[in-house]
Amino acid sequence: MNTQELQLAILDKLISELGDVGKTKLQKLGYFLQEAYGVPTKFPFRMHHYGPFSEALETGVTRLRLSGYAKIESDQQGYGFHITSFDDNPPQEWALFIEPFGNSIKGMLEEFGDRPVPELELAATIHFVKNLSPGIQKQQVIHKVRALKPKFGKDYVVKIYDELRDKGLLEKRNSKAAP
Amino acid sequence: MTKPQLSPRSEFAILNREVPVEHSFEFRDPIHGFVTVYPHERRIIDTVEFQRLRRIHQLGLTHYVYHGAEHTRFGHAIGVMHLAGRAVESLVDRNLDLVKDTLQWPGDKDQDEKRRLVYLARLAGLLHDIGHAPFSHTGEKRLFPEGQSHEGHGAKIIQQSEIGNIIDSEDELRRLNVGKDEISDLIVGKSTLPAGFVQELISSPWDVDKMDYLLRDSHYCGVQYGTFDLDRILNTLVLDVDPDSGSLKLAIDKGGIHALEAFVLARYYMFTQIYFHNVRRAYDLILTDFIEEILSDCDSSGKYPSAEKVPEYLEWDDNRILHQANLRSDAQNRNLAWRIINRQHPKSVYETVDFPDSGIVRKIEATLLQEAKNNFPEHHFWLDKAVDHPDKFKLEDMMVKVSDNPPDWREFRRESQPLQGLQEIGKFRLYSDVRGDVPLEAEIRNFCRSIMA
Repeated sequence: MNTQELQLAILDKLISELGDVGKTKLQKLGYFLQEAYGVPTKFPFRMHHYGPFSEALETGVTRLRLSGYAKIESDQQGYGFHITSFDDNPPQEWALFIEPFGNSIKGMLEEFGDRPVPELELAATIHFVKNLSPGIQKQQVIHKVRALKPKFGKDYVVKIYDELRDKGLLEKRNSKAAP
Repeated sequence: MTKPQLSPRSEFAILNREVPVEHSFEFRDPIHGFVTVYPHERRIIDTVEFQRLRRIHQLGLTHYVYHGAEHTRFGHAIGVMHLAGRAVESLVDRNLDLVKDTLQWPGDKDQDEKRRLVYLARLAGLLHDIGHAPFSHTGEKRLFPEGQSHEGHGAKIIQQSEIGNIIDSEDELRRLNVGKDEISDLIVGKSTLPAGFVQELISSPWDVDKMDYLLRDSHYCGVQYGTFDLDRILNTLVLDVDPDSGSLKLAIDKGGIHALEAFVLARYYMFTQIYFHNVRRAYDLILTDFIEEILSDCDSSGKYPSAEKVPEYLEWDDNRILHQANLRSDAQNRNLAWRIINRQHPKSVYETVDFPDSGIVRKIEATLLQEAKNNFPEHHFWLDKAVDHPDKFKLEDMMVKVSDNPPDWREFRRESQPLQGLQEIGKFRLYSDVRGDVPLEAEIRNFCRSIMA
């Protein structure tokens, strides 16, 4: 198994578990799975307007669509995309690839799967900023995040920060080696 | 709404208050005309790390197909620097009150704050490709150590070489608080600059990197596919306060919609006609194999030196690869080096349409390569998967400013009907080392067709 195969298997699993997911949400869930739960998908994330974003993750979704495992549709109003699973029979080896990470996927989806997209955007941005500079203090993180996203009130940013910290999800978790 | 006209050289007039004209430089660029270069930028350009970019072809071995495409990352870097400065200056000038309010600039520091953003953007543009490997993108996914990229190597080069020393020692840059860390963060996409539009200009679906490379690559390839109305886009870019986050993001005035559409389509056609050209891709494949062969002789991993080994990494450039190709070329065995030197590329024996059916894609991935290897064991085959997704232009929701009063903003992708039909390109090809043996080539083609039928 190479990294690209694992990426496709993980994305396919997330899409099938979520049923119907937008692109931004999938980006943030992919971010947390890798950065906070240590699943070694190795997507390079950059800070974009709506928080951490990976072009490689986007390409992975495209590959799934090209191979017929996922469907991408824009909604009737033209706002947002719906990504849905299109085939219940992905390659058998994908199940083996993701088996070691089953608990991480389940835990991440339980924690973040039902959160609204703006909250995911904020939480992922806090995590990104926190892990950008080793040793950065809480107040500095809050300050930077608020400068990036002024609409989120300070209390709300602090609340999400504390929540991530208390659940042990604030620190970057190093990737577990792929089996 | 009347818009101030953007002068290509307005940056010169505004920024030069503290930089006497005689201390600046002008480079003549084939795409943008005269490009102003400030003294600290000139010092960076003169470093050995930057001069190496003269020895990194912009488009790999594309000049084996389009003979004019001999251009290098050097000229592209100068062009991106120029466009980044133009864009930031124009955006700030035309949205000054909004920028001041949102970024809370002190009342009497407008010029300094603007100059700081322009310098940051220009330096990030100048240095965004400083970490490119030989032949630019050729083989980079396979040849960089796992999880590393040319951007990450570039950030390390800035941090650890003379370039970083120049940035951190220039009085004017220090006064404006422009440091090498911020430049590195912009290049790797980790900038937390409150003026987020600077990051968007350096790396996003509508960044100035793409604006420069489409025009430059078109020019040197001798094609028109990548042309679009650059001035119109730069003149109609505006800033919008994102309602969800409150931060400043790039948007476009209604009058720029068609120019932006043309830009998206230009990129699409450059991919279908140039970047995914079948012979060009063939050279990417054999060049990647050959570079891996050379790297394996230096290090068992077969990868470029990691980002922690900047001096070793900087020793790699196109000249070194081509020198090795000359040394290793073996006409009798027609090895990879010989093929590269003598333009003897593998032949495409099967290819999909640009938008293949998912059943075809699955069959190619699951069976075609293996079947070809089994049936023609004495030959070598390469499977190439060229994928790009123009719909990423819809991803980040560029907003269109339809009117000022009352304020009316709409999504670009909703306002642009032509772009709604764009699909991801997925060009899959099987190449074979068969050359000159016409009957055998036909036999393999027929075999592939029968497998895929």
